[in-house]
Amino acid sequence: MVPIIITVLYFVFFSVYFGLKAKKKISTGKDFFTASGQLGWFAVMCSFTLAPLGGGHTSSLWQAQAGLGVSVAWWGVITGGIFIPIFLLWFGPMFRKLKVQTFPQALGKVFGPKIKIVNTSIAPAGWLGITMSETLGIATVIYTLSGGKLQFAPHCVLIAAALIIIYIMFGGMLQMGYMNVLNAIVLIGGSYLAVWYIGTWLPEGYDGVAKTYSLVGEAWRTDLFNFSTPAVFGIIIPCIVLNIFSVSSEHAMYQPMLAAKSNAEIRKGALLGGIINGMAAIPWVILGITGTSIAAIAAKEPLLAVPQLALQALPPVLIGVLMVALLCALLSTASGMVLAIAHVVTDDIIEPLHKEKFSGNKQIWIGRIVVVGVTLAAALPALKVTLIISLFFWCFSLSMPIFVAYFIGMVWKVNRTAAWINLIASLAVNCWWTFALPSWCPEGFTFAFWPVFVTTFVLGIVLNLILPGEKGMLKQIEEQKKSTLKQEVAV
Amino acid sequence: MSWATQTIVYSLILIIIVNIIIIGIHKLTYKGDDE
Repeated sequence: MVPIIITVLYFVFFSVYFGLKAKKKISTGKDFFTASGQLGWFAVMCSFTLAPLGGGHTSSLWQAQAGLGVSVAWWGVITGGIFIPIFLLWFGPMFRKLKVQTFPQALGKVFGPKIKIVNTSIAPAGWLGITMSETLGIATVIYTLSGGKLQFAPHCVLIAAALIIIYIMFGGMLQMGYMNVLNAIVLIGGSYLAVWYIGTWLPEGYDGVAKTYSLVGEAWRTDLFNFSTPAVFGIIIPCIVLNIFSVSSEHAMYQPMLAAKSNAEIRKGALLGGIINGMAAIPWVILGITGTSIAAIAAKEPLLAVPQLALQALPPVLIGVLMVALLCALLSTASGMVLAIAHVVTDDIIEPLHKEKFSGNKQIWIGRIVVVGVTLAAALPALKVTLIISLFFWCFSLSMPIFVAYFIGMVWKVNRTAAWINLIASLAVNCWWTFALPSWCPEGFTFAFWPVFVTTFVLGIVLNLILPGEKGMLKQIEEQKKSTLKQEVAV
Repeated sequence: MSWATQTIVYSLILIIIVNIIIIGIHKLTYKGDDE
């Protein structure tokens, strides 16, 4: 029970400490959900960097290494090397130019209110799916690293839900910003400490792991540059496309942007953010490969590879440290998602339905109630979900066309008809692939991500080439600024 | 160097190189502050 006690104490203590600190600085719903531009570059960088981590950077990678070897580490390299700097240098500042509070509002500003309503209705469902898989991941970590002493359902799931709630409950985005600064350090420090310790615990160090694989003709498992077809089509290409075009439509990525003092503060974190995000994935891959090199662990499910290795190799205190490090990645993503869904529900559904504007304090309390409701909505069905990676891919496929339409509208052309056709056709293809997979579908392309990717890109480009439309939104904003400036000079 | 150290070092180097290239592209195309 030592690891569980360490973990619960760590998250409860720091959540309450930072929560109370943040609580003093917030007075409206806007402060609660976006910290209203109060965060400097380091906190913005940590908040954003930890937001897309979750199971995608940890448990799903140590699961996937069982089939693909260490080449799954490319997920971290690509996310940290490409996605993080692109988002912090371009996408984040671009979003702030629209002067809106949520991603559905941004879409509404570009394509009109109807598309905003559709996005408000569909997108949170996809984000809830991601929250669900993160909740499941957190519960699994608690269950396995406690050596099965706690029941998975309901105990571990309820602990997971409680940790998600207290991560953001008191101070919202500002609390999460403070927490993520500490957690970024603990995540990197704790996971690399475990990698080092296990290296000393192994009889022949990590060279012994390579030897074990070589003896059975599987030396490729420890080769980072083993570009096999499954690694390219199962990890590398999906990672580039999903991160840039799907994750970028998640409102959880834009909340740290709204929390930043300025665009310059966002851009400052590109390099360090990329390094932290990318390198956060590597220890879990190394531990997974090491775990599956041990026959007794390899005989079990790949999802158990790291927890089983930790239970065998680490002393209880270090299991606790590793558990905290892992939960730093999972909780930051799950809590960020919950806060994002609660923000959209409060700002784009509850507020418009209520005729009078809520007072600042009431806005915060409504936000907190919605946070609890969203967490429960994710935690209860999480008991029934078993395939984390399939759920991720489905949810990402749902949001990909939304970002493609938004991006085209921002930088190229605003055409509502093209955007609607693209969204409807891509959703239809997603449902077709998910619920009635065609028999002619080649193996390896069974995830809806592939046909949705082709559909949304082809339609996005072809329809906007054929149909006339207004100038891209960024151009329109620029022209509007120039004309306002001219009028001011004339006056 | 073991495969684990290689994975860490090569990943770090790759992330830094790609990041610097992207930051360089941004510097070349940046047209001033936009707020």
